[in-house]
Amino acid sequence: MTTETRHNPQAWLDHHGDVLFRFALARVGNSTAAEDLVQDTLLAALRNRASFAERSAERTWLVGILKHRIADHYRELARQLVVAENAADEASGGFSRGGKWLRPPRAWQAPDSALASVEFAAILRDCLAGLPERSAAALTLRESAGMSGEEICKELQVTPTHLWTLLHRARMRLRECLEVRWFCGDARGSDKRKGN
Amino acid sequence: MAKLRDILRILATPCREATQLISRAQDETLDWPLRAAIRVHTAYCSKCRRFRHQLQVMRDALGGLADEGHDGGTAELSREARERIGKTLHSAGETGQ
Repeated sequence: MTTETRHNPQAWLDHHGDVLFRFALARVGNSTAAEDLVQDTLLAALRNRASFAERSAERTWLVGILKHRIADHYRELARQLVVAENAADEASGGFSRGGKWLRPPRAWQAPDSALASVEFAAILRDCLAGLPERSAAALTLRESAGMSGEEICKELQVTPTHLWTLLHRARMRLRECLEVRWFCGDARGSDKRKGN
Repeated sequence: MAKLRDILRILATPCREATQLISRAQDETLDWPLRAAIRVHTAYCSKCRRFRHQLQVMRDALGGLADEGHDGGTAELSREARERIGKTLHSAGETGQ
C-alpha cells in the first residue's frame, strides 16, 4: 500500500469501515452509536495521521483508536447515569407489593426458529435500543462481547451490586419487549410468523 | 447446619426476589442458600421457571448478535451511513490541511 492510500481517509472507510463498524456494534449494541464511533475514529485518525507508526498495520492502528472512542462512549454513558435510571426505577416494577408477577411471562412460541430469523434479530436490536443506554451497554458487554462481571464493572465504572441491578433491569425490560413484539405479538405478529 | 432463617427465606422467596437471583445466577456462582432458593422456588413456580428458560433464550439470541459483529460477521455500514461519513471526512480533510 502506498503512502498516499494510507493517508487517504476515504480509503480507510472503504477498506476498514465495515470491520470497524462490526467491532463497535458488538460492544455498544446500537447501530447509530456504532456509526458515530466509526466516524469519530476516522476523524481522529485523520487528525493524527502523522503519528501513524509505519510498522503497525493500518487496521490495527484504526481499531486501537476505535477502542479509545468506545471507552469514551462508556464514560459519557456513566455521566448520563442518574437521570435515566431514576426514570427506569419506576418502570422496573412489574411486581405486586407482595412480590408477585403483575404480568407473568407467557409461553414463547418457537424460540429456536426465532434465533435463526433475520427479522427477529432486527426486533432484538430495536428492543435493545429502547433500553436505558447503560443497561443496554451492560447487557451487550455481558452477553454479546462475553465479558466477565468484573471486567464490565471496570469498563462502566460501577460496583458489582450496581451491575447486577443494571443487568437484571435490562433483562426484565428486554424480555417484555421481545414477548410483546415477537413471541406473543398481536394478530399482525402471528401473520408475520406464518409468512416465514 | 443451615440457619432457620436461611430455610425460611428459601421457602418464602417471592417471585420478585427469585427473578433477581435467577438473573444473577447467569453472571456468577451464587452461595448455596441462594441456589437452593432458586431451586425450591422454581420447583413450584411455573412463572419463574418460564422466566429462567426465557433468559436462556435471550442469552443465545444476544450471543448471536456478537457473531454478526465479529470478523466474518454479516453486519455492514449502511450505504447512507457510509456516504455521510465519507462526506464528513472529506470536508474535515479539506479544512484540516
